Amino acid sequence: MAAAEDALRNAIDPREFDAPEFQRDPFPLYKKLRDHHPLYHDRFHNRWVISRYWDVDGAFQDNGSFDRAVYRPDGEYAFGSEHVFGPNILEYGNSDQHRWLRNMVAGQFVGNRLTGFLPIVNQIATELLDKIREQGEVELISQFTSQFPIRVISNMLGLPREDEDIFVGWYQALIAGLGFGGEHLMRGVAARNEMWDYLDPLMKERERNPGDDLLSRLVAAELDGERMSPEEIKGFVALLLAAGGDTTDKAIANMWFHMLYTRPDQLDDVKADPELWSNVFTEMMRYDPVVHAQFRHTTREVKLHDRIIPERAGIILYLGAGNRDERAFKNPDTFDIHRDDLHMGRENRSGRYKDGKPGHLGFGIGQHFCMGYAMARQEAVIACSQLAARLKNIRPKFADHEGISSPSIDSGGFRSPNELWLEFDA
Amino acid sequence: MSATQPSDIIYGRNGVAITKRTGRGGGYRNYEVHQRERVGESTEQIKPLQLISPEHLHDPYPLLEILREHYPFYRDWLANAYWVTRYNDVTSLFADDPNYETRSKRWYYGIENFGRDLREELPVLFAQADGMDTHAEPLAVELASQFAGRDGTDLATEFAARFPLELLTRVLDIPRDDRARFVERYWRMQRGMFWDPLAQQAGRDAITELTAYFEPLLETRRSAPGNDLVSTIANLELDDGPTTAADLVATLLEGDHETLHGGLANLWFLLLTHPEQLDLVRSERRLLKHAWFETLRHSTPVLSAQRFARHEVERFGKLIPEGALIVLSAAAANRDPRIFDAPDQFRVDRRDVCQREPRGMYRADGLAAGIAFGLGRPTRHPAVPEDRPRSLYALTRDAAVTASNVMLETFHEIRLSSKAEPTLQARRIWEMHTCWKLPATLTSS
Repeated sequence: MAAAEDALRNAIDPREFDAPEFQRDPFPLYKKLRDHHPLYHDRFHNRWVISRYWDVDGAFQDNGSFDRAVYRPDGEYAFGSEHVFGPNILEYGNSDQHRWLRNMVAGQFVGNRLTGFLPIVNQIATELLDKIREQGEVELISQFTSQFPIRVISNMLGLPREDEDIFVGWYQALIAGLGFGGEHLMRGVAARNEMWDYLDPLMKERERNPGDDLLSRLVAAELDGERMSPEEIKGFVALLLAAGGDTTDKAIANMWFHMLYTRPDQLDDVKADPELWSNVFTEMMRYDPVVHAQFRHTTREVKLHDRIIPERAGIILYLGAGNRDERAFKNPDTFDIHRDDLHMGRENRSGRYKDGKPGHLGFGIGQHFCMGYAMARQEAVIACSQLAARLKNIRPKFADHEGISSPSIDSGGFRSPNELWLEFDA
Repeated sequence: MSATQPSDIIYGRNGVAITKRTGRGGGYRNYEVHQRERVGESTEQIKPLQLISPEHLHDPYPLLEILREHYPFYRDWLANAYWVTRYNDVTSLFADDPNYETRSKRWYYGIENFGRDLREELPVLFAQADGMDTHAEPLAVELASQFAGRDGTDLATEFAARFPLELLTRVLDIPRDDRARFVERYWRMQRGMFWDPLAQQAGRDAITELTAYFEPLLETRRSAPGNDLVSTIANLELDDGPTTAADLVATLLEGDHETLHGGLANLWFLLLTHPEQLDLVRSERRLLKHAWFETLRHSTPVLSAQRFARHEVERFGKLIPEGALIVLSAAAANRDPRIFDAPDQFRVDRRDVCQREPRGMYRADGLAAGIAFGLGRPTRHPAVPEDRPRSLYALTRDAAVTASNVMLETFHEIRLSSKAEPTLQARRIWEMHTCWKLPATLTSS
């Protein structure tokens, strides 16, 4: 009888996933999932939910069983028709096209190419800070974080600098269009079409006069004598703008939120040692990352926790839940930049580290591991340390904050505070 | 990756370049065309959260009209499903077995190997038909006699909800003392198949309890058979072994009483809220049967059916992935103005609704029928077959018409109680849409 009562108490009403409380604070539900339903079949949403750290890790590693693409890569249909970005490489799933497209650009965001680009990143941060350093207070999201990464990525792509403000509007509309709501999708598609009209002449011009930028490389790239179609290039640009812009934008805001409201005591440590901004980034990516969920489809029957997930089932991997798994981290609900059970340095695609510690799941693992992982970290650290160094005596303007939340499920988007007001000595 | 040569490009009527693809997939429309269409088909008039809102449970028809008229193939990201809402699409996908499948209720319960579904066995069909034909009228007379001389009667709870389940207990010949408990368990089992984990746990318990209950009964009836359905199943000879209590429970689970219950409640709700239609039925009693058909069309209790794509399939200019959940909305299709004239009106003398059991893609005599998924597939057999009983569609219709006719015979006036404001309502998402409270004043003839 006791078992039956436990089952009742720990049962999950799948409508909780649609509730506003879940958008604000998903962590109690994550814990219930991990502890009592490590493999949860959500019939209401027609999908399966995986939430424990090592299960999420295992699903990421097993691309043969858990595919990112909805359709079969060997099918006879054009990809991209269901996505606001247009054809983008994620839809290619576990295929040669994906590997080819990814390898073409992945090198841009790491190693020497990244190092060579850092002076420009620094310069962009400086320019933005020059505008606000006299104000005495700043709403960080609108005046800094939403401006900064987009300028970096559009610079890398070689898009004209004078139009950067337009790109910000575009990518915000694109990201909102990833959600469920029809009107957001409309705005997203409208922005995408505007952007594509804008890109057409630019691509022709780069074909004639190739430069050192990413767009020129995409235009000229060949595999087996075939080039990417114009739609595929434009879909790629849309993906890079949104992925390189929005996520880093929100990561910087989340780092500052945690330093100002969650662990103000550790802000002093970071001010004393700016190297620690790297730890803030890592711990933020564990504690409450920008992206909490990734979707997969099974390509075959998968056995997990003594149950069988059928072939072609929808899977949701809650990396936000895996990151708070007591089975992987001590005191997982504490934000601590000095954590000794988390791999603090640069991430890698295998998710395995020489120090033997588990890494955060915020970038994913394996085939679809975030391409911009190194650049995001560099950008975030540069932005935060410059901000801390150049604005004196930074403090929150308001004592209370409503906290980090996801946008409503009607509009797509990632977790961040809506507003973040700082004061400093002008 | 397509190599785009200038010669490959042709221009469509709207001036959009269409890239001709060679090799596999050649001839399919290209990405631009998809996107242009998609902008035209944007879903800005609806949000998926509305599809699970209380307003939708109460009255699904406004939202379904938006879907049907604007987004005939709607991708519901929230429910991870596709909605199909036009009559011809719904009926054709329901008939399209090579590409789509309906899954058993046992699949929803995760107990696919539990028992055998005996609903297609001829002796079972005969026993069911005989039972329903034998017991429908006496049962209705018995119920009506209980209502006579009372101030008011709730036709939803005391008539529509009771009649089908009491009929079932008589068809099964459940001992009188066990009937109440059987009905409660049966109801719990039927309600547990959908998404709610708590209801499902309760339903599993009910299945276990029912199986335990039927085991001794089945043994008794094996040695001393009667004319009832349990006896028939107990003595059924199958190739793969004798029948068990699990077979009986699986058969009961896969069957359904909802259409008879919900249909009766909705029929009387519609008749009482449209008194002029009730007068019409009283003046010309053959119209009662038409009123039943019109009820199934106008306010079908089983709103939708779920189908699953057997493999990747192109339909509606879109690609449906393998395993995708397709929601076929009977409620939307039954109000499709392409098929029915003034579809929102309840008219018992309607001439554009099929007047007998439909077949194939829900049509007969060149007319479309109201879709009632609860009654299974449209029959493949003649209306009056020689070697098998009438279809479930016909049996249910006859039981409902018989019972309603007894009410009309017994009471010369039936009207809504004053101050009553009955409505139709689904109690939970995916559950039956029907009238749960219908207080009426009955005056004996």
